[in-house]
Amino acid sequence: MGEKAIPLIIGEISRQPDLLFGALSRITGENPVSKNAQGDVYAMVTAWIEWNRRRQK
Amino acid sequence: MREQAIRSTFPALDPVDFRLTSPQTPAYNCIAYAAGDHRRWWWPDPDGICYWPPGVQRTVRFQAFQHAFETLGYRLSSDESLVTGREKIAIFANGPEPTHAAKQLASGLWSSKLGRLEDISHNLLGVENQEYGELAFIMERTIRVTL
Repeated sequence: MGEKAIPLIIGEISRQPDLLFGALSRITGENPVSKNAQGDVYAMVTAWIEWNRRRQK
Repeated sequence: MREQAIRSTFPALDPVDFRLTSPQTPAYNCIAYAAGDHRRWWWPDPDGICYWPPGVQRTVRFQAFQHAFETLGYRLSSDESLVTGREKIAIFANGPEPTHAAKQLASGLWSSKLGRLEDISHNLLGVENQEYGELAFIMERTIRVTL
């Protein structure tokens, strides 16, 4: 599934925040979440949504 | 309905002591809640997704959890009784792996956050089940008064 799963996972965590960030990091090889935001579900969701927006531009 | 579902998940809950005490929220988990943090998930995951106190090993083992709470001033305790001026937390484990934390309320009852669900009040051993396992150890510290 890989790359195709990224928008699905981001859509899911936007609707219902969950700790799927590890899966996103492993699929994309990236981690847009700052150290200060570790464990902060809403900040992590925001970071991944922004990361996805930048990627789609 | 929710109460019924929780009761069936935790058959050792004392029906007199058990109460739902918050709405569901994914913002924090049981370890964070016992640590007094309602903003983050605390867990020693190797990916660094969750918060874990700096300098404490990221392993799901007793020592890591003990050290994490020691950073907050807690020390191992020999009993779970209510003591004036002291606050206590309890760590539960399934075999060698910690699974859950609860904190003692001023009433002597205990309080837990259930994953991404609600907070509940309960008898100490009421959250023992197949997933959370059994009470592993208690820690305590002097109650900190913030002015």
